[in-house]
Amino acid sequence: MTEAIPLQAVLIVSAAMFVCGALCMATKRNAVGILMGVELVLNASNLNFVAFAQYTPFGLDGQMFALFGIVMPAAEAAIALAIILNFYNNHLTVDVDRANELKL
Amino acid sequence: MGWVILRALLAVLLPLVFVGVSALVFIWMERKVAGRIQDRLGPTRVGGKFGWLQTLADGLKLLQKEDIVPRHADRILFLMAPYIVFLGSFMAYMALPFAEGLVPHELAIGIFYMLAVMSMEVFGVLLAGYSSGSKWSLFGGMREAAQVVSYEVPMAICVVIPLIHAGTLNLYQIARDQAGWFWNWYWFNDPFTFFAGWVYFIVATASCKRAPFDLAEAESELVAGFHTEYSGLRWSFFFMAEYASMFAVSGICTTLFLGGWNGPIPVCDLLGLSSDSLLRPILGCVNFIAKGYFLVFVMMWLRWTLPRLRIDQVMKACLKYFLPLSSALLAGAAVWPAVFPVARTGRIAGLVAGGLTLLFFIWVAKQTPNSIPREREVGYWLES
Amino acid sequence: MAVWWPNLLFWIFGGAVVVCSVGVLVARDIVRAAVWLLLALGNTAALYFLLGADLIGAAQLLVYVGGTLVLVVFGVMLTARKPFIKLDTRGGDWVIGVTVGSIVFAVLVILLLDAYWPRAVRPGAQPTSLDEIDTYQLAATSPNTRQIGLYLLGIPAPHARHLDKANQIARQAIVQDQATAGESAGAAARPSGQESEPPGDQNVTGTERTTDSAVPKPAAKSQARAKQTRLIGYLLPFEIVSVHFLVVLIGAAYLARARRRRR
Repeated sequence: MTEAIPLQAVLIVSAAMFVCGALCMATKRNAVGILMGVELVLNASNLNFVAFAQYTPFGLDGQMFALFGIVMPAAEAAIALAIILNFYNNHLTVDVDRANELKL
Repeated sequence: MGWVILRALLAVLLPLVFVGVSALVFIWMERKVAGRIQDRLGPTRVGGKFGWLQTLADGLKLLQKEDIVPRHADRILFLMAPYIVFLGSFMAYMALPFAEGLVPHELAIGIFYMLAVMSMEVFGVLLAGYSSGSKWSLFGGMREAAQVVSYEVPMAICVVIPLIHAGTLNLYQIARDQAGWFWNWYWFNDPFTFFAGWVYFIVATASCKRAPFDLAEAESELVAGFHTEYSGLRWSFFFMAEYASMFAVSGICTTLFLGGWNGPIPVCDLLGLSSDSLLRPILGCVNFIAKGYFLVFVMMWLRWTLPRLRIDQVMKACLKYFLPLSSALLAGAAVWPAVFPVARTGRIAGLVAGGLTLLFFIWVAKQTPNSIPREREVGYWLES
Repeated sequence: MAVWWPNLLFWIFGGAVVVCSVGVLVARDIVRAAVWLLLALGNTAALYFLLGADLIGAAQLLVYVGGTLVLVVFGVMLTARKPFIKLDTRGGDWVIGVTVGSIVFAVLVILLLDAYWPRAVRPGAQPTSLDEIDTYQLAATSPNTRQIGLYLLGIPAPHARHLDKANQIARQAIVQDQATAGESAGAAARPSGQESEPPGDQNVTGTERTTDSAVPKPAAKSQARAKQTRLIGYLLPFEIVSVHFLVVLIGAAYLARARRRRR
């Protein structure tokens, strides 16, 4: 099966996802939108791991890394959302451009 | 090549037809069961004395209803939500083993895959609640989502308990492993697994949003929860998804605990049939569907008997009662093979637990009177 | 006849992933962005299934779609007041962002098209030398649930290789080939009873030990490489992640607790 799908194609897909995620983090003003960008970036790296697990001698370790790369961002998303909700409770906004209290 | 495509198509179409027909049967069964428990008859007019075609009539009625999309609704998300919920319920059927050789696709990660796709339903519920554009739907959707997501945790723990003995996630292998007499079923593997079967069933009922855990769609509370604004065929998709997921979790319960397609008595082996005779898959299919339908009937029985729990009671039951209970059962079931390495000890203990539970049920049934004598009707409760 | 459907399925799902990622980026409504993210993650799970990572794909659906995304959507709905649903990015930000993004994407694509990726040894393909078999990591093709479970229990790769039937069979085949190819003289000259695997695996199941006594000592270079690829199993990361989750649970509950308003 994997002879049909070239490795480079999978890597290009994950590169595209990575760039979209990074751009999300850079351009979105809603804090939850930034979190979505983080999820996309982590997913792109997971896809890379799984692709390398299948195509290179990296082997099953790639899938193990991907497994840990699925469960850790879940925990991180929980904390990030708790922080965002706290921010919303205190400032009544989720616009990150308004988060400028630590600015000089 | 064409054979592969044909097999794939069959693997999708046959469960789809099964889900459709089961939904018809379940809706009729629900109304009959509700009627009988409430001391009335249920549908009796459409399609003969027992009202068998009632669901068809209901379906036709729903088909020709006006398709309303509220003005403040997010149109695309509103239209998309019922299909996401149905997708989540239906994809689970890919791994359910109906009989020997009758699995749509034998997955090495069968039960894990089923839990994973059934967790997609939550997203559809949330989307439906949000996109309806009304605050009742939003609240109902969020409550439902919180309830279903919370109950997935004890459900997963209770699912792991028979897997400790099975050693595989493959549902087909698990069902094949339970061949023989009924004491081979994983339910009687040890007392912890026995009680885990009960707990799993209750928790699965809660995760299907069925009564007594159905506050989020209760009429007295939130009109109809997340599907308030839905009418016609889209509303019926939600219900088809609910009945589909009810049968799916019943299917998991029968495969993991009640032996899958194996009957209590190995009839085919006793008759000496060869292993590729046609009676085996047919009887297996009948067994599996009968057990699944019976468990769905028990869910309906619970719905029309028990009063509804409040949402805080629902969440408390999950986090303070079921979660510690299922964790304790998991610890017990994991330690049991180390303490009693002989498999027969566990089986005998499980059967003893089963027998005691049966005796307990008989005793409870004897306590309630069969009917209230007519002349003592008024004031019966006052006197006792 | 070439198997064409993996290619077709890959282009469908891969294309869907790219389209949905762009959808997340471009969507102005935050709830729609969440739906695009759901589609992107779902299609990534389909890609995992295509790439032979069954357990990972199901875990992606269970954890990301059924857990993280539900959390994200809860966060969106709890903060979804009218002015915040459609927060727009300014035009200048878009221009800079898209430019930098395109440059980064171009660099990545050029790099990965130029790089040399060593090929994996498949369990179906016959490894031709003990060299290959000693550096052979466990294959990533499904069904690999058992191997993942063994890894998570802390059984490192050499031990798990013992328990891997395909590796056993391939090893026996290679040994027989080398024996019949006239290496028996060389085998007799070597000291007997060589440990071909790195030390520390005496506790492996007894039944599989017998096949290893017939294996002659591999070349030093491959043994060095085998030492490089010998990894500790994943028990420690598993435990760390479990404790990590406990901390996250407590931390999130503390951060999101309801506070009494004093005013």
